[in-house]
Amino acid sequence: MLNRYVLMLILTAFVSSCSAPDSSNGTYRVRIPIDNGSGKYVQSTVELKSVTSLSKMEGSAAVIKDRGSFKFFQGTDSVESDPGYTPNAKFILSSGVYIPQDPESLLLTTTMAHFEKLKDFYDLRNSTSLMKFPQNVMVQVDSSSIERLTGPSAHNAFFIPGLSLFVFNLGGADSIPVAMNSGVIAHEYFHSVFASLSKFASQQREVWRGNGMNIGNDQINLYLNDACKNSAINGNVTSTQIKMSQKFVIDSINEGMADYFAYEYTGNPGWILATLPRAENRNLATPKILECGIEDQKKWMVYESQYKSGNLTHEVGSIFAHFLYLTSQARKSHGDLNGTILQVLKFISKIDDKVQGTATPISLTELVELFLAQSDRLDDSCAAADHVFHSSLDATKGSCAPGPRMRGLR
Amino acid sequence: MKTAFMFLMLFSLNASAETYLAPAIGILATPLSSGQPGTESTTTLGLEGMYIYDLYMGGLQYSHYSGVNEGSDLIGVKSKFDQLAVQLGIKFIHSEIAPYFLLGAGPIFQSVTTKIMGAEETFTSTVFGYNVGVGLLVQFSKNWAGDIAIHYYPQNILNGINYMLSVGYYL
Repeated sequence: MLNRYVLMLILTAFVSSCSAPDSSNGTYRVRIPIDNGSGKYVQSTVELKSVTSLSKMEGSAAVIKDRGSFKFFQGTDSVESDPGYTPNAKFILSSGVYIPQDPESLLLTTTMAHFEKLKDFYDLRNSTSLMKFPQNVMVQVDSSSIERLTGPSAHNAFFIPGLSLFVFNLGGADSIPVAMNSGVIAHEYFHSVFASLSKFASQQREVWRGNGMNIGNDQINLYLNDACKNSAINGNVTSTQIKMSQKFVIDSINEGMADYFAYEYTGNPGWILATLPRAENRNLATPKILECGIEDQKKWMVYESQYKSGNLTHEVGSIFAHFLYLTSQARKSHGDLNGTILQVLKFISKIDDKVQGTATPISLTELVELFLAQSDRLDDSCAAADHVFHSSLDATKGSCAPGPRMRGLR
Repeated sequence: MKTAFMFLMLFSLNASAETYLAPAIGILATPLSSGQPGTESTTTLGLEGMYIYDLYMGGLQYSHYSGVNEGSDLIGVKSKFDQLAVQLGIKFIHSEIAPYFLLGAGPIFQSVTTKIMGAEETFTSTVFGYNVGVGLLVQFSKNWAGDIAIHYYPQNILNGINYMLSVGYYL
């Protein structure tokens, strides 16, 4: 009888010892879908070097929680969040590559891979020294939990600077989920970079949203330019209104730069379309022209921030993103692949300087001129600026002055 | 695998031995990938052959786990497993209703098919897997018996509890 129990004990110990730990300081090779640069998601094998537990989605670049909830109360800026659960992602190991066994594991792995790759992307450009790692990420967040923020919306993502928290909603079945969209993740990731590099942003405690635009593609120029010219302000502009308008334009620039970095990361100017097929106006390659003069823009920024709750930041940002895209394209055609990326990262601190030294509203065009002032390859960025802002750019004040350079490039 | 099968057959030829052969059906409950409380279940179909000598049991079990078929037309994942396990066990008592303890080990044949935007690719893998189980062998008559078993798969590669029921024949 005793022998029988001893044998059982030995067998149990043997089985327990065979339980493979899912913790390693080594490299995991995983198979995930990635935007191939044209909006087509194709299976790719990616090496993960920062992951300590693939099943729990923990690593030095990011820690991902699943199925949490998040509420942001606009007005009071208060946040209620339940981080959700430590995942239990499942894989098979096929020829040395971890293959996710179900869609949930596939999504979690894809998100983790992008957070690692994006850290590498910014590490290479010395832009992460002020950031905290690992990043806190929530995926598959129930959209109904943020009803009070933007209304129910399946396709949305957020970065909350005050909490250093990324939130990716549940995706719909009809398109690539936000937490799998390479560009959406890169867009939100840029917000965390911006928050670490910008003194202005570090003082903010609001949610930066990655939502799409509601107006049609063919209407964007007309809509924005009309909104700009028709904005009326009653009475004198107060210092509070000035601050709000400055915040609006910087938020817009932030959104535009986030769109641009999503393009640089994916190689696809239409990165958003895989998730939001109707948001063609966020496609960086779609032409956009701002025809408002500087003074009209300032009135618009005050009006927009005062009366419209700043909802147009993505739309205004898309104009700046298009300008950066054209600049980058031109420079790349000359073999300069990295120049625009580095310039934009340096530009963030210049925005701080501009805001701190200004007691008036700021226009988008003034920030473009500030960008041009620190351009190494001025011809390329001036040509792009001329294309997007030609009727509002003050060539006598801007860095592209004197006029002949601008005229010659038209 | 071949050796184990021959082992089983040799014991089956022994007139004094009891060999239990039965189809089995069950449910494999695995933790949710999201980490939320609860489990997701898949159907298990199997076949087991067990030689029983005194209190000792040994044999083979083949199991097919139907796995998941989830996602959308845009992104979908299907997975399934098969396992052939050599089983060794001990009955606690001599009785027509006998609880037992069991250890199983053998190859797990895995397959995952991923479909992304219409492009499909399938991955296969064979790994060595273990399970530990407890069960209740109930002899209805001289030739007929039933087996209720719970197997725990502790590995990351197949992690869960398999509830199996079989009704079979004593040779």
